[in-house]
Amino acid sequence: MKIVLTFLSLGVAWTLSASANLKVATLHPVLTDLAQQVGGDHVEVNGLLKLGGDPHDFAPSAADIRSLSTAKLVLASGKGLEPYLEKLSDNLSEGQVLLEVGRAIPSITISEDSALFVCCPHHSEGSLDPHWWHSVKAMERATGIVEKAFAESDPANAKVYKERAKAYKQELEALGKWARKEVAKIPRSHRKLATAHAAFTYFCQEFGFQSMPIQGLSKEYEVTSQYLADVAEELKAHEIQAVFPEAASNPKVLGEMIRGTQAGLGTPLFADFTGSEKARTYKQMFEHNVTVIVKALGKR
Amino acid sequence: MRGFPLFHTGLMVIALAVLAWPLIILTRPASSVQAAPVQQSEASLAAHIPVRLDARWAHVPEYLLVSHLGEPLWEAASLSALQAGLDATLSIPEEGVDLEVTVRWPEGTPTSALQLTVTPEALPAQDQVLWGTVDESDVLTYQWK
Repeated sequence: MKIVLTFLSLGVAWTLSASANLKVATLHPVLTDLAQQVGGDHVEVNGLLKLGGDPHDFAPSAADIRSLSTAKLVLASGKGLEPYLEKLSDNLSEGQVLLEVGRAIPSITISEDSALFVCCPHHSEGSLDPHWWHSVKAMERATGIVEKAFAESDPANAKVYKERAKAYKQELEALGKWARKEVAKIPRSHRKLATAHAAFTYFCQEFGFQSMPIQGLSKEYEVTSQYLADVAEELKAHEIQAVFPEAASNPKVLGEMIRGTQAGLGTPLFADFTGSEKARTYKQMFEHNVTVIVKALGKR
Repeated sequence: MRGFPLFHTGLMVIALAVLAWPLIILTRPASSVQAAPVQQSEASLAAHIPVRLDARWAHVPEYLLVSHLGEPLWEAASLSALQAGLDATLSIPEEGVDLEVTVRWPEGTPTSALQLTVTPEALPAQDQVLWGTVDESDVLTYQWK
């Protein structure tokens, strides 16, 4: 009997150790999805910013910070998207790791070289676009960064993370190839992506578009009548056919901006993939954006 | 008042008409200037020019398809030599062109490569390489800027 009990207790202990999850907290839905892709069942992900939340307005509440206490690893997107990171870091205890996934990804600064129309000096030029995940290649790189962090935090499952990361990178590679073929339907001379805010410069760089963020980076920008006239002139000069609003934002201001021009209002794009059935995962968000852009700007 | 009244009335009508004409010109509403429609689709693209396409491969493929803007530009099957070529015409805007290349090698072919050289008239030749196994398809970008 004693032998049976000993074996049983050993079995239970082994099962517990095998299913012991690495607890990870994330500050952006892109990272929640990425952590689940790389970690699978071995990782318990606590996404602080839920679907539907706006990462630009988000700051963790006291309850959020308390919920971080069990996380071994906190994933942030970086590049200035989370201005509260320093304070958050102060609340972490020893042994908890805060990782800015975007830190190792080359940044794009909004400049006259990367944008067709640089809104106004204090809203666009010189600002950093934090939306690095709109580059599939950047996501592949981020997958490697997350895999390495998981392996360091949970060496027992390092092999699993490596295999899952490899499989996800292959999925991303296929996604990038599909996107290149879709985008190839748009003549390179027509690849001008006019959006509300400067959230797609990584996408533009990867797929040969010129970026035209007509409302700059800030969502609070006051639109004057002179500014409206300037934008209309630029839209005409660059023969812009469609201006894309962002999902979950009010396209009324954009509607005002394109009035009297040849441009139409495109289907909304997802900048942060929050809040829609059409974009529950990174891949769904990316496919939606590419499909919408190609439909509006493709060969006519 | 002397003279013929009908004559005087006629003179007065003519004088009023002469005075009214400049007033009509000055006060009529300005005709709206219709903005010329933007001719984007083809006007901003360069005209079609002769282009030479040359393909070389490490292993002879069974099938090759080169498309531009979703339209087949070069389709070839039953290839036997280690290289092939085609004369075509293509519009080359200053932003460059994307060519979608699909290549199929026989089963069992190891990782192989296809080099596609594009030589437009009066422009230098440019080449790109597509690596793959058995069935491969991707977009190759050519720019002359």
